[in-house]
Amino acid sequence: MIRRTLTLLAIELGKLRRQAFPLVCLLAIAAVTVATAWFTARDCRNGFDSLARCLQVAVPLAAIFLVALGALQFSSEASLGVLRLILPKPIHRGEWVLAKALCLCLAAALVLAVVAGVGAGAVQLLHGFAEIRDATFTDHVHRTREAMVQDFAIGVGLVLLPLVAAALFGFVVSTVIENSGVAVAVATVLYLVLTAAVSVGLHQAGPYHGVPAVFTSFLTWPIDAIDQFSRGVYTYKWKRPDILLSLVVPAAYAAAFATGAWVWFRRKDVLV
Amino acid sequence: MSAEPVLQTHALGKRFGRFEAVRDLSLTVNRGDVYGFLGLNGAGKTTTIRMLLGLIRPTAGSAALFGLDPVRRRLEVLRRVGALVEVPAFYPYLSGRQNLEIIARLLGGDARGRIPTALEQVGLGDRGATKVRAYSQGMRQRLGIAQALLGDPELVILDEPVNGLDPQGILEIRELIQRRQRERGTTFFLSSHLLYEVELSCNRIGIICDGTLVEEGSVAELLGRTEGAVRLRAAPEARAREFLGAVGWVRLVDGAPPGTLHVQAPPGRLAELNRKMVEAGLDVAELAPQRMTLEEYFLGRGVAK
Repeated sequence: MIRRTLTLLAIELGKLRRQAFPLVCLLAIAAVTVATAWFTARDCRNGFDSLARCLQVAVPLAAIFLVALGALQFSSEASLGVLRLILPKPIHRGEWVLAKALCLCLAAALVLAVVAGVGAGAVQLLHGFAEIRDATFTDHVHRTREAMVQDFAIGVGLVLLPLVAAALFGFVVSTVIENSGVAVAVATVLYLVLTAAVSVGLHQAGPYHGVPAVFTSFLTWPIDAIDQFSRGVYTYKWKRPDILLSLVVPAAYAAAFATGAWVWFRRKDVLV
Repeated sequence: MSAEPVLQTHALGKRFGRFEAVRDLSLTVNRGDVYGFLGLNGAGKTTTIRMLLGLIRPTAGSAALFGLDPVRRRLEVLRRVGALVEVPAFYPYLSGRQNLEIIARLLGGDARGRIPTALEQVGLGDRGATKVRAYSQGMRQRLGIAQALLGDPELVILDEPVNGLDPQGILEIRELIQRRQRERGTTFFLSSHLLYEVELSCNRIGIICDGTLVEEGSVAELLGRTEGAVRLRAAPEARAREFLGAVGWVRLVDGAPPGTLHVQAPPGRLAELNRKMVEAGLDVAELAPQRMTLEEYFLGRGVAK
């Protein structure tokens, strides 16, 4: 099973890198990141501030892209008719679901790496990264550069699982809706509605934006925390319960979405 | 052809809501057969094929491929089966060869090494590097057959294999099927509308109508039942009809083209029939024993609506 799943994963990655849509979207997100760095260079007090703003713009875009990418997984195969080419081969449907889910996880990691890497590169060129000093008492260092780099690493790391959950949210829609255009539209709209609906104001019980029981609430608060650190403000702190919740809730949703896709696709009659 | 069953269904059925697409379907395909699965549009051919390949779940009955349950022993069964279901579908942004490489990876074994031969066999040897989005329908059909044969399967299930092919292409695929059956003992299960092709290619047929198998047997056996069919041209035609209707051992058959009469008569009494018609003042221009074609058998069987 493991070997077949890895073979399917290699096939999925090969297909992904040959398609125009993921590459175009990735380039667009990278371009937005660089543009944000460019346009915020003058207004930001330091490079970390600028980088946080880049991430605040790019990470939600990355989430929407991943929702769409997830929604295309099986719906595009159904739209092309390729399901009847692949499924009569000696593979289990569950293995194919698992391979696609893993592919989406890797895609989420890649997108986040591109956003963070391109953003950091652009900011380094435009601004450079220095320690965070007080605006009035400039001799006072709020936070060293090393500490800020660590804060960024934590923040970016915490965003990964919500991005994975977003991709798998689209994925489960793709197993239900066979028309790729409709699947992408439905998944994207549902995701945006969910994000807006549960955002019942800032500063709930924790720092997350919205109801902590929903995975969309955990997407941007780590970046907002970094933004505040970069301005010498410490409303947020890295508290263990908040970090734990930021890992557990999105991971649980990701697992639930993947399981839902698996259950649905395994029993589905393929009529296309 | 041996009598070892490679594919068997027992009371196989599929219901979609209240609609029964296939019911009580029991057929047998033996090793080495080239089995033609015939039926009108909507008769249940593709639904049956999808059930055999695990694309849809039966709601009744069972199937066995190589004596194995295709649901429980799925991988074992599908390693020995190649299939083409309906219109061939591929990844358009990949070339023909790249699509086959994906199939080969799923099949494992030596499949990858067979890609060049498979492309040559279907006449795509020089087009393997072209993206599938640039292929014509005929080329996609050929690629579909190539992927079905890639794993060197023991059983090949082809749904309308010559759709979209020109006459030369149809001939090539027919020869490919016959050659594989002869040289490798491959069993073929073909569904087709082209009755002439089925008659040329297949040794056994099954006819499905409204989801049920209405006829099954060897082509020779089924068409042999039409022994005694005679084609007549006689003038005046109306008087000839009247005369023939009055002869007790002759039966007029419907469906003859204008100017021609089809009758059933004992083969040993044709000379007698000819003499009687001439003595009755009829001008007999033609009296020829006929072997009914599969098309005539199919249409005359009452399968056509």
